[in-house]
Amino acid sequence: MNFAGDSLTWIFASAATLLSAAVLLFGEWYFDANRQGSFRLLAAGCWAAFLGALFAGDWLVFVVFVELSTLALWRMIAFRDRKAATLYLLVQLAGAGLVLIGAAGTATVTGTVAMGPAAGAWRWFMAAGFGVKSAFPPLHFWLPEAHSKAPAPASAMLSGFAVKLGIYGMLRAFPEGFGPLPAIGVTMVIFGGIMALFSADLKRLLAYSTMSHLGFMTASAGIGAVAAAALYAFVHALFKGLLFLAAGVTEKATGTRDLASLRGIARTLPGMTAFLAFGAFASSGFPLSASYIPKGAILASMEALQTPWLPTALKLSGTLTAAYLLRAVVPLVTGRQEEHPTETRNAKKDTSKMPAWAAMAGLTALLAASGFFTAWIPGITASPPVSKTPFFFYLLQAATGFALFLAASRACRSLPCGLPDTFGLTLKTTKCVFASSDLLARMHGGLLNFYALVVLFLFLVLMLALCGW
Amino acid sequence: MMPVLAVIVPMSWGFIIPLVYLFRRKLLDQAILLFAFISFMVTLATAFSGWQGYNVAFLGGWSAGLGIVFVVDKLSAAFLVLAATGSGAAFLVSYGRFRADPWRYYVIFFLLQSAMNGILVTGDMFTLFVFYEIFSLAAYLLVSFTMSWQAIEAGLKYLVLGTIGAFFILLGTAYIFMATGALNMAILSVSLPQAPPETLTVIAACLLIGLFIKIGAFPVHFWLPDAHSSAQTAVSALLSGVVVKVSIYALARVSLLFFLETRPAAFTVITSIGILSILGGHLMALRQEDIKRLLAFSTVAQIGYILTGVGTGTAAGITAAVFHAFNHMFMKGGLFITAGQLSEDMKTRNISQLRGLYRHRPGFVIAFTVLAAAIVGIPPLNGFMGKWYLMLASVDAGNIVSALALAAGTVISAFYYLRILSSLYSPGVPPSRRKPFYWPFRVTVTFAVFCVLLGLTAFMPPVWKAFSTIGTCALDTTAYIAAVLVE
Amino acid sequence: MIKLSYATAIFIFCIGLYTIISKRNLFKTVIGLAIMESAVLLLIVTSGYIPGGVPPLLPMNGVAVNPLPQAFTLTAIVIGASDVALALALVIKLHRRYGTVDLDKIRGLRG
Repeated sequence: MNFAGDSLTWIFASAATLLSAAVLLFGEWYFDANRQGSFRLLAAGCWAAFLGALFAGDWLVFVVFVELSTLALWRMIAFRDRKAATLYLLVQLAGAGLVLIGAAGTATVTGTVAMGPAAGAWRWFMAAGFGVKSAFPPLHFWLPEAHSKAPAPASAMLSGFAVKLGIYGMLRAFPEGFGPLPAIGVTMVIFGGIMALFSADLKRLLAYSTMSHLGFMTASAGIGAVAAAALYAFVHALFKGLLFLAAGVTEKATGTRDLASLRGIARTLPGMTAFLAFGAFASSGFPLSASYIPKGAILASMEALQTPWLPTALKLSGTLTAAYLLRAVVPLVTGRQEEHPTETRNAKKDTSKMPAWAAMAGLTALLAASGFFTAWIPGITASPPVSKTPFFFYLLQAATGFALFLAASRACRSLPCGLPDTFGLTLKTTKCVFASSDLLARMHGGLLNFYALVVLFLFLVLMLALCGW
Repeated sequence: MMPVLAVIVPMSWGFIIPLVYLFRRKLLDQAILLFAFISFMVTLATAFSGWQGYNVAFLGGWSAGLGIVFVVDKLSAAFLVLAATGSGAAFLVSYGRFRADPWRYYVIFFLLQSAMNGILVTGDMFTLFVFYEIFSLAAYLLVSFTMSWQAIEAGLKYLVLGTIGAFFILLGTAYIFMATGALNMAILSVSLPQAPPETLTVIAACLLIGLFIKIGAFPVHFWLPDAHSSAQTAVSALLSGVVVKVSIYALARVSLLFFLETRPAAFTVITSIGILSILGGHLMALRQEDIKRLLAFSTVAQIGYILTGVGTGTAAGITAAVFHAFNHMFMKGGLFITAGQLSEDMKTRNISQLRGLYRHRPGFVIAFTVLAAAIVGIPPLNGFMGKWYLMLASVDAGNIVSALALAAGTVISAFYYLRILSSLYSPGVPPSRRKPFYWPFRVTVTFAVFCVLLGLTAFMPPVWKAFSTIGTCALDTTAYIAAVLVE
Repeated sequence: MIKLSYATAIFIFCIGLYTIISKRNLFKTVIGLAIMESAVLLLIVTSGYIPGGVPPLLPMNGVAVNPLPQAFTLTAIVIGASDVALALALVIKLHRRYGTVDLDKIRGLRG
């Protein structure tokens, strides 16, 4: 068991530290006194587990710390919704198991479990395991459930960093890139964007937006652009954290996450709306936003390759991004103000919300700074390549995004909003498992004759199997 | 000499206890405690005597071809330590509960221990059968000891199925004798390859099916859930923790000595049965309402884990299997003891009625949580390390399906252990009176602590190197044969 | 070809196994166990037979049959007897609870 750290580690570690500090500060305000103690313990433990996973020197230690962070996050989600928490725990255990199989296979080939590139066919296992962690479709079914039903600080840690551990693993396992990943990444970007555009719930929208951003990072990992993916991960941690924290305050103040009910909330919660708007801008990829430099770096690395469809698809996805971001922010500002329950809001206004505001303001400041230059981030050793897209392109994207947003909101007014996702498949699989369990239980009817018959049957099978052909 | 003592000493206690009861009844309590302590020490001493090299005892001075031989090597030593620890813990739990009151229980207990040691040190097929039958008879008696209708029914079904298994083993031994004229395992290891292949098939099939029935591997495991759930607490812990492992030792010894070159398909069979046990055990445990029956099905699944390790036929696999056997003894022993005490408190074994126990007995519930986390495979506990080494060995041997089954098993077992835990921690009305459970509590906590320690030390290379010598020694059949066949 | 005694032994073994599988009366199950045991013991004993051999008793005039299987058989008979005894005791106890020895009715432990 050993630990190591290079510049890649430091980028992710600083992202984890900044995000966890903000979440811990936020939690001072968010939780009641009886939950405070356990939240502090769990969040600090989760932070320590993140750092342990990042500084791990071999895959075994990595998986151990990733599972420990899963446990901490599971308890945090369970504060609010136990079923979503159980789903999260079970899925993450499965993913960790797949990574372990990949690591074991790599150890067979290379003779060591040290954190290095995966070998041969074992890369598929590693990719599947990391895909469960980073929400590859169709393994992403847990993401909207867990991220939207968790309390806000837990959602921030989940979307902000926990999913990045999968990206980190991919960067370590596939330093030269891995064939299917760019295609999977583009699928994630588009699928996440569409689902976000048509979602009815603010936090669900943010969860799908996480999936979309993860697609960028996955595609970048797939072509081997390690530094660009890491930079994107860092910035994403910050702005997704900000978005979820602001959404959490909004939810606590109004009691709802439903976008339709949150119309016009800007008049009652101007600060939160401002934070949400800033976070949305930071995630858009527009010039001067925090994600402009990382996105540009990823696109520039892709332009250097011979596959033109990849950067083109990603560039065009900017329209989707603009559309769903507008859908998240515009109704809050322009809609007709509805009746909002104000009792909880007044109660919360009296208690000190300084920690929450300080956390969000800190994240905002860092994001604003990242919009201009990235040299301050620990671990960035060289200035990232700049994309050659003209500014006019971004304006065009903003315009088309706006049009798409208008079309989508018109569609959402007439149709029921919220597209179905693969969650139904999960339920079917669970039903299958329980059905096979029932079938087995019929065999255990207590009938001794049947048991002896099975013995005879197995004996004949063994005679056949051991024939020695 | 030591291996013989390991068998004779507990057996003699079995015969002396009735005499003590008849003639010196007042001394019975202390006598039984002393006897158990001496057996424990003798078993451990035998284990250590075999650790450095092969400790071979020729009974009556006859050489291997003519007489009975007892051999202790590293594999036997590891299982002897396991048997000593498990029996010692079960003894403490039952002694703490009812002192020496049913002295017949202790007679059977010591006979069981003597027969277990016999299986672990024997070097001869027929002696294996004889000790196996004494061991099984004692087990049938212990299961039905409480005389409740569940215990009797479970005991009878265990008896019928177990005896069928024993007769298959005897049939296999008969064929071995007919084919080669020898019954000593070392001599057979040399002469079985010359037997005709059809005979080898029949021998392998008979021995394997007999041993699978005794181990409780799916699909011939049907006696196991009944027996392990109907027995009293200490007996369940003993059965799940130790009895099953001794049978797995017998399977490992027989397969490694006889089938490595002659029928390598036997190892594939063992791996397949292991995978079936993992899936079958976990799937059945999903729908159980009775906590002890759930734990019994979880045992079936864990047996599958160990069988996939044995089925690789490599040193790494055997080491991982032995390590997991130790882990399972600690985890399942502790779980059964806790479940037994908690269900006795609440007068029910139904999981949904075992509520509010965290306030009532926090120590037990916390220990249960640690043990459940260990058996599911949560790092950094020993179950996770066992799972990792099993995965490593399976993948090394090319069995990817076992590795996938191990991963799937984690998810399913997490689901049903979570159900128990959420029931234990949920608010409820605790029972009014509280009887102190001195020894069960201490044993459970010790096991939980061992789980944590084993998990952490398995990380350390020097400890694991010492453990992996078990595997290499188990596979080293040439050294075994050379040690036994000295003229 | 297979010796007659071996074939008989295997045939009887199958009869015993068939009894356990198909009969619903618990006593018949125990009898099936005893039949299986006899079959295996028959196999063991006759495997030691040497044509023209005499019993292995002193004084011997001629080649003795192999005494080793006979020793095994004696041991196995004892083990079989104790198995059957315990089985019958348990059957009696079960009968007290269930009032029947019909295996179809004695299925309290299921699932």
